[in-house]
Amino acid sequence: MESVSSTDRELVAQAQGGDDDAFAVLVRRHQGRAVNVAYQLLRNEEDAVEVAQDAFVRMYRSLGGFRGECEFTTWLHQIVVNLARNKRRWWWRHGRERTESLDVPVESGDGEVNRQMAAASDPADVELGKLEFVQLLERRMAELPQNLREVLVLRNVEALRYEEIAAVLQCSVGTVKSRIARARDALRAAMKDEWP
Amino acid sequence: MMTCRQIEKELSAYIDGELADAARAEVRMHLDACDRCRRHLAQLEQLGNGVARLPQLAPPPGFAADVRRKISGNDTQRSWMDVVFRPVWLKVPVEAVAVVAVAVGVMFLAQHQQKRQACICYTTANEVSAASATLEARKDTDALSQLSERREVADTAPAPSGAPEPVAPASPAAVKRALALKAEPAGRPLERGADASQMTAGGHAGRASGTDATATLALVDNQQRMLIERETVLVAAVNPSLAEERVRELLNPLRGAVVEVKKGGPMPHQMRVRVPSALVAKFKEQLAEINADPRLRPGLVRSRQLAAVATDEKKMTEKLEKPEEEPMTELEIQIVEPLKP
Repeated sequence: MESVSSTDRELVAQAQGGDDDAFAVLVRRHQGRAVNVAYQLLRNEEDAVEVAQDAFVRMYRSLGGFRGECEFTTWLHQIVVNLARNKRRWWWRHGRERTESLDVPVESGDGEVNRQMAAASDPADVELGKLEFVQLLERRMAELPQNLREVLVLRNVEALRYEEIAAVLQCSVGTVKSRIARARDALRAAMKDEWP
Repeated sequence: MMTCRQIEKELSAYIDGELADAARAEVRMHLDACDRCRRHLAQLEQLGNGVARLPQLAPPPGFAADVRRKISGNDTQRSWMDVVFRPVWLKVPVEAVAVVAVAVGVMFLAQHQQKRQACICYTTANEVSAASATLEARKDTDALSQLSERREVADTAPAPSGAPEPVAPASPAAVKRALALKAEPAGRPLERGADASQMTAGGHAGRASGTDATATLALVDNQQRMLIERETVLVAAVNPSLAEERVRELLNPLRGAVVEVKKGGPMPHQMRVRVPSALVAKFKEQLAEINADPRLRPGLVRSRQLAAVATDEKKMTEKLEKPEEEPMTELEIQIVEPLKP
């Protein structure tokens, strides 16, 4: 029986040996990360959950080919980012833009309600000014090109180092550095009215 | 000493702690002395914090169970797919072989289609014999006497033996009957035979003569050749109406005629014309002259599909009573816009 305290590598090795429970531990351990990254990239709850689940399914099916050359989380990020890109392409092909914003009310059985999010913020941050700033930032983020949004999410949400981001996106560290700088400059320009 | 512009480029990496020590020290020194760059830095930091505070989504209850269900639900398919596609060294060759196999299959089908098209006339001839046999079985004297009379005239040509001959003797009613037999499900041959004989007696009894039979024969031969030779020809023209007019002008001296014109809608401007078989080559040459696009030469672009030929068989039965004087070939002309360079 694998322990929850086992490292990812140990659990992957056990899963590669046919231990499905070890893989289930990996899923439970990283499901929050997968769902949130997908959500940050897609801004659509349903599709984010689907992408995250499909990422784990794909990982399970590719376990035999995983040689441990990168961290399990890097592998997970790679797949989630790729599936999110595919999902966006699917939207584009079908003429759909499913991006949704926090401040867009949605219909429910009881009438209009705002989307329920997992609150990661410090309650102290939920001051009116900061909340408005974050909501505006969210809209501006949604307008960024996909490749710029990816680097910002991996850096500022997942707190990955440039080297790790380069491994996820399979590009050079220099590319990551310039993309992050461009993304922030674009956001800064888009938020110019917000600066004192 | 770095300028503000150079420093701005490094600020993003600076706040992420991704600068080398020397560059980091230089940026820090600049920031100590430059208010503008400090403001810029503060804005970038605020953005970074804002992105980290964007609304997040937690996995719904039952997420892991759903993953497990998806995995087990497709497990059979996975194992089969894995056997074939997972090894990279096998993936490319397998896919290459699949592509070649599909290509060969398509070519084979195309050839087969052409052969079938060529065989249509033979099939029709055989069915004519089958129809006359049915009539004999019914001993319908009126129809049988007509059929025999026509056969006598037609049998001056070598009779079909084993291998199918392109032309078989037949009365219009027999041909009609043969085609009707082909269209109807099997199971009522005698009743259908009776219907055919009644039609023959009512429609053609007064015209049963040797000359008529020969004309009919020529018509069958003619119609069969028409089916085989039928082609679609592309003509490029900027003004389709003008092109149609030119085609009509070409047809008059060649004893050709326009059968049908389709225009409007999403399909290209189409003309169905009939030209004496002997003059088809000349007609095509003249068509080339009205072509606005020198890269598009009229010629056989695609052969008719079998389904279309079957439709023509039906039309053929309707036109049997109006025999044409000489073998005609039917051409479908599509008037399209010239290709852009």
